[in-house]
Amino acid sequence: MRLRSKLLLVSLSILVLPWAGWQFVRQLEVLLRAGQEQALLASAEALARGIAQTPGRLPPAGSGWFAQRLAYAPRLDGEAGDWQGAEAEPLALGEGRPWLRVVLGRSNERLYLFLQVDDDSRQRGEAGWGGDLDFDRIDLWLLGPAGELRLRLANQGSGVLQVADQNGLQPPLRIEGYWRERAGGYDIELALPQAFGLRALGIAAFDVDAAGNRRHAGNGAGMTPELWPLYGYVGALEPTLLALAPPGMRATVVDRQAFVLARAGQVAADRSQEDLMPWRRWLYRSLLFREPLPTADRRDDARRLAQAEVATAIAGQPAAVWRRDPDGSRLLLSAAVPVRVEGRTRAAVLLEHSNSALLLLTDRAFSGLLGISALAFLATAGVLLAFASRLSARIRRLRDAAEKALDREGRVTPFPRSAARDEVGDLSRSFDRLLGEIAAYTDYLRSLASKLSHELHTPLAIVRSSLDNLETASLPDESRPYVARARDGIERMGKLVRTMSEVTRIEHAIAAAEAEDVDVARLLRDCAEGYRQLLAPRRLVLALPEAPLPLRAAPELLVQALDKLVDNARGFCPENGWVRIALRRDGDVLRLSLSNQGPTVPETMRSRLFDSLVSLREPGQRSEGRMHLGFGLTIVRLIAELHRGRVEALNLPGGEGVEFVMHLRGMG
Amino acid sequence: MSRTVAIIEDEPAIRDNYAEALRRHGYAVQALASRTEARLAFALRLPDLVIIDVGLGDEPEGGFELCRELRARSATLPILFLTARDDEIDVISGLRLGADDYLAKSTSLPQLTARIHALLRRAEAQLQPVPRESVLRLRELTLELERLRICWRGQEVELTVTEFWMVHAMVRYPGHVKSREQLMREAQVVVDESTITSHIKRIRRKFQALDPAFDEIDTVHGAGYRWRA
Repeated sequence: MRLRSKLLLVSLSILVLPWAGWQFVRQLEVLLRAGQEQALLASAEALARGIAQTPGRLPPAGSGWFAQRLAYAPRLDGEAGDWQGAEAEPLALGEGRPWLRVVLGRSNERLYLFLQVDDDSRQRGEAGWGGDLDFDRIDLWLLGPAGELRLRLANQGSGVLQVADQNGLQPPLRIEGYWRERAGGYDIELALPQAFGLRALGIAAFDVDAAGNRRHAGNGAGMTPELWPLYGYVGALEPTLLALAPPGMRATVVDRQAFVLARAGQVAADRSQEDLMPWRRWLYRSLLFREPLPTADRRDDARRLAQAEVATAIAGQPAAVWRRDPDGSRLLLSAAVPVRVEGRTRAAVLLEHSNSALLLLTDRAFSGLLGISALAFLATAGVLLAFASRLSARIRRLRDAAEKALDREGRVTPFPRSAARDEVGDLSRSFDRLLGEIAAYTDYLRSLASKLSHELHTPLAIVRSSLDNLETASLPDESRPYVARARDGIERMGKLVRTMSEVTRIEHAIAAAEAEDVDVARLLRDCAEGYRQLLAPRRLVLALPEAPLPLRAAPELLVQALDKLVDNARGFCPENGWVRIALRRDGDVLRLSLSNQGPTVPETMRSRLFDSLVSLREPGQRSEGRMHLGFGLTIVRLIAELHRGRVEALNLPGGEGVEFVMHLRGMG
Repeated sequence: MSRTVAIIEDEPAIRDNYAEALRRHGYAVQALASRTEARLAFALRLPDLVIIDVGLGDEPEGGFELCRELRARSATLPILFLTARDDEIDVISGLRLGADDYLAKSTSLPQLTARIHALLRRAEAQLQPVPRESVLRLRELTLELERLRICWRGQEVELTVTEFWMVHAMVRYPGHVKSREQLMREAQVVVDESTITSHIKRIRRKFQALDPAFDEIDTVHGAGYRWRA
């Protein structure tokens, strides 16, 4: 992977910052919620204490009957359908499975009772029957302003309710009602006289079955009912609640059975609806409020509260619960505390509050976090990117310079040193030093050959001239062969020395070359005879155009290049092979090629063949004792470049040989 | 009377070899090691021919300086330059120092001697009129063999002896191609092929200096050169 990508990846580690921030905001939110809970519980406590100041309004310390508020009087027909929901929460009495259910309702100062008795075994009787007889009946004890009244209710069948006193005689009180038989039991719906002033009530139900087994259920322990006081919805508490409850909250007071005693206030509207955009609210929900919350039940007119915190408060422990708003998307916090009077729990207070304040706070915190961390990330990523770009650009420059450092002849081009003080700068300086040493050494090597050849001229001249003189002196015959051999050796040495400085001579010749208009076709034809003889017994094939092909060239240098190529072909082509010289025009470029049968050039060597000091010849191939320094093809390349062209070596298809092609544009 | 030949060469072995070879041929030889010695020796009298080693000692231009001094004293004194390598001939003759010929030290002694002989002959012929001499005329070319002189349109072309012999080889058989080897033999030199090329180039230029339209010498690539028929 490139440096820049690596550094970008590293910069991604900065993302740990917003993650940390998010964790922080979550912590913050948890703390805020805890704080809100505490605050709400404190308000609820204050409210409870305020209510406890007037305990008279609260339900009695002991047991009592809760009389539900009825908006209108129900019809006394034994059916609770018109009891406006009050019939749903009866008080269930009876051991084991409760089989007596009692609901009290008050409407317009009149008290209504609805009794449901599950009694399969019908042993009905009439209320007026004597006390000795056993039948299914209800005992109703009333404590009114005039004192205690004990009544008996029993019907033989559905119909107007039969009421009698204990002895079966006409009751002193007129009670209207209806007894309705139904499957599994009977229902009684009755009403006490208007404004009766009932102070306490006791109910007991008696059931006899066919075998004579009896069972009873009632609000008293044992067979007799207990007189329990009545209480109901305390409208007088509402102003107190309104006064004491903090604004934007709903306060509810419930009795120990969670029946609503008083209610005031409104849960504040969801401000967050206006202030936050939907996507942000959704974002916070998903990111912050992870725990699934129960949905609140928002019925405003429930008679009985079923919330868990209410039950806990009734048990004596304050509790607070967070809920999700069913129709909106806000959170509701409810806190419930017990109302204690003299150490005993008489009621419970529930405060409900929707907190968009928390959400708005979170929103501010979160958007701040998001904004800052985005900025920080962009800034740091930008800085890192810039730094990475610069660094990788520097390293790339260094790499490019290093690759270009040695040109084709092995000459060292000037290397750009960096003045930077860091490792990259050190590296570039090391490269420069290294290349300097290579350059010095290469220069030394390069000049060695020419210096050597220059130096050797003098001793060569000495030996030659000495041998010349020696030959004129009178030598014995046996010495002559030695002189001849010495001369031979000196000639060879002379050739060697000349070869050593060949490239420099060619370079001078190229520098001094003068262009003329040359017909290359004629030139090749002229040289062909000489080459044919040179290459024998190999076959020389010519593929030259008939028409003249003019080129602005230095003819003697072209011939020299051709000589080198032919010499090369001669070295590699087997004796029974062929050599082919071809010439044609390719647009504005002249294509001169010499191909020969023989071994092919390895792919890796194809471009390097024309560099100096590269020779592919085997030791045995060096012909006529001439040393092969590998300059021939370099000379060809230099001459091609003089003619604004290039030379390349190609392997013939089928691997049968090699083709050297010179592309020439002509000297300028 | 034997002619005096002066050799100025700083390498003692070469100097001695040349001196002895020339003495064997009957010349009186002054073997001098440096420019200073030469000046001393020539103070009174100039020799008949001077051979100067181009690379004299430490001074790179020592030989050229000496040549200029001698030329200033005598316009006709034959001066022969000896170079270390063939390709130096091209460079040095381009300097137009007025030397009469240039040879590389790789030339054999017999060839050197023959060249000296020719140079002396030419110098002599310029001084005295020769009664009969063989003259080759070909169009605008006049070649005087004994005088070793070539004229083009009546004007003398200043050729070295080497160049003269090459032109003579070509002009003798106009239209025939002379290979480089043949030209070398005729010019009594053994040099690299490219040296022959530069000799021919120089010859052409000298003719073209007198007549820009000169193109009598034909290059036959791969074969050699010829004078137009």
